[in-house]
Amino acid sequence: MGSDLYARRVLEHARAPHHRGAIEGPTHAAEAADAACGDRVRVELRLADGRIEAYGHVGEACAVAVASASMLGDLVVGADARAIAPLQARFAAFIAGEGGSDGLGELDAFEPLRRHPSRRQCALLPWDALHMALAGGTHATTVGEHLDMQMTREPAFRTAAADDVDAIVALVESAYRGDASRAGWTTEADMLDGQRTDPAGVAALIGKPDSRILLLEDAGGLLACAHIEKQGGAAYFGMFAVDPRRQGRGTGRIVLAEAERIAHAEWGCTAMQMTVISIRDELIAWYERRGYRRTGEYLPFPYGDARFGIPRRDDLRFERLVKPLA
Amino acid sequence: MNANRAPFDAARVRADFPLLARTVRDKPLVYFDSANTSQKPAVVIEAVDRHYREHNANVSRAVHRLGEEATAAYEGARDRLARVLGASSRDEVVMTSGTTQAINLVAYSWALPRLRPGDEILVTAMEHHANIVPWQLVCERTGAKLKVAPITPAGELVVDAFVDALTPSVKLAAVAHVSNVLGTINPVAELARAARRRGIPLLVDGSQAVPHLGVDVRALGCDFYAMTGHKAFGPTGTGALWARREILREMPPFFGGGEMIREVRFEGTTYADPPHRFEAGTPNIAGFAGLAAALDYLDGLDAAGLAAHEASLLDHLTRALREVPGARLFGEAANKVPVVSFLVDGAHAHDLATLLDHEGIAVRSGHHCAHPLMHFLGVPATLRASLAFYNTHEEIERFVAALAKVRKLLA
Repeated sequence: MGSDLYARRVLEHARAPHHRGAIEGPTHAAEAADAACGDRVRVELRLADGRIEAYGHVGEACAVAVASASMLGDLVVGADARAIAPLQARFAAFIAGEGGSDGLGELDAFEPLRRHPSRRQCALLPWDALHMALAGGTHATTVGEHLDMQMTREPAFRTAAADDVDAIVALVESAYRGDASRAGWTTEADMLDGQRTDPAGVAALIGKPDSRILLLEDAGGLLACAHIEKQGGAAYFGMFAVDPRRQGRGTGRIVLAEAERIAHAEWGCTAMQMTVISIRDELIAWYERRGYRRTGEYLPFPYGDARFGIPRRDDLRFERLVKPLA
Repeated sequence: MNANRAPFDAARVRADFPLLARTVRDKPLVYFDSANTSQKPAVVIEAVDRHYREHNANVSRAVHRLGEEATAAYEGARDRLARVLGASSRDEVVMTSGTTQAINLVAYSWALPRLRPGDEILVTAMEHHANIVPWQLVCERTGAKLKVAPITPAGELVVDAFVDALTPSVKLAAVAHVSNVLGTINPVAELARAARRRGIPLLVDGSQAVPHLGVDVRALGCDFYAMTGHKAFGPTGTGALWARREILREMPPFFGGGEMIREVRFEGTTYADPPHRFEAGTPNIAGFAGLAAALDYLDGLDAAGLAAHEASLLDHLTRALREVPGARLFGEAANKVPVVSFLVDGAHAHDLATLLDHEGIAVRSGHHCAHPLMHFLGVPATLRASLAFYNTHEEIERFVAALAKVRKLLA
């Protein structure tokens, strides 16, 4: 039959996949799902001294994905975890017709995917799961936490730790500064150049008592962040950012509500306050719709302190907004 | 109307569609993906071509000859749409880029200003994402909620449950005339009567109905009817929203721009009357010239003969698929169009679709833009064979034989 994609080797792996099933004592695991077809592949790993000691895959997926998961296992058991990312890039390039198959083992059987672009994602699905599993391992500290990682998971909150600093700075900068921020409505690119925050500033907030940086993550990574700090009977809300590519979906409201919940239920605060650049009418209106009121109290913008950015106009100042929490 | 149509002749009709004569991978094409988009008869392709070669100009703005010809072609499509849908007046037909734009127009212009927190919109479990997501978006903005009427395992709407769900909090009901996944024809007239008694407007998504059924919006008794041209043998980027005149009059503009205005001043602008109020910007003029040709072509076919041919194709396809070992059919409603969703045990939908493509057979695999329905069926994806009147019994035989062959490869 004229089916080059379903060559004998691919079909053999699909019918009797190697490494099929859960493994004993996984240290890392993740599930990748293809939104277009509903396929799911879960990869489990046991790492020892940075090497992949055991690999297993389970899930409901097409022959291409199952065969890819099977061959992938043959390739990576015994491999250094750090070698996986370059290998994945090489495989993606190979099936796109942009590179050779060196080091890819039996996965060279997927050469026909060069002529089936609509099916490439099927072969990449187990790689995505493997990548997610390994990424979870570098961040989370307990098996239970990264076992929950899924590409399709609902957004979930957690408190930032020291190794989140770079990701937070990148998110905040992308939401407020430069052309990337213009994808979202929170941009300040026309008011300010320079930076919004820096690693030292973020690290200080993480380490400070009565202070917390709240992170919202989903399958696409860090989705939003906000800083809350207990200042006497009120809580302060700031450094609030939502990924500009994913704004306008109600994410901000969820983050603000969670911040208010923590301030009220965990810290016993009776009010939430913040300072907003006073000319940002649409942002102030957004907070007003969520119960905040303008106080008419203004604070000067720190002109001359580049840590807060380089103003493009001379009339910037902050206004304090307050909402009682009950 | 053409009263002297020739009796329906499947072979002759098929010859009207040039693309159906091509081969795929050296095999004659079997095109079973018409619910995704239909093929186009030569008269449609020629109408688009002729528009650009002979009549191309903008509509309603140019007083020169070409402008008049382009306007006549565009407005001629509105006349055909009004006739095909059974509208009381051509002014009840808003021309859109397709069903999605038509439904979004209702969502943003009609529903958004009316909805209050606690209000509800009723849909069914078999809707296409185009009849779910626009409602979710306006619900998110207004605090209204989406309510879902259930379907039976055979893929039929539970009419009693739908009617019971028409409570006072429901401000709009929206239902597919024909399901794109199951082929089920919903009893729209009955649903419209129940909704009308309660004063609830009913929107019907007619995307999959127009290619198969005669539609008469007045007989159906609905309030909005959305359709697309490209599934009904016309060009992509064409479609329409029909709504009662009094409803359209109450609706504010959704898109602003040229064409939709009466007078523009910086102090304020007055808007054109419906339907032009909703047609800002230069429309898909050539596309609508093609759609007019498609609707004339359909009108020239013997409707009873066409329906009998489609019913016999559906019967043949259903019986043949039931005989394929391990085949599971989804949606066996008593009243349906020739659209069949299925799976074969031990074979994944995508693998089968790719392997069938190697046999020259085009079917769709996936979730068919109906995640909630897939969830109800308990499967991530299905294969769907969707036929049109230009398909033949011989093609069904080839499809089933190929299915048996490729299934063995995966088993």
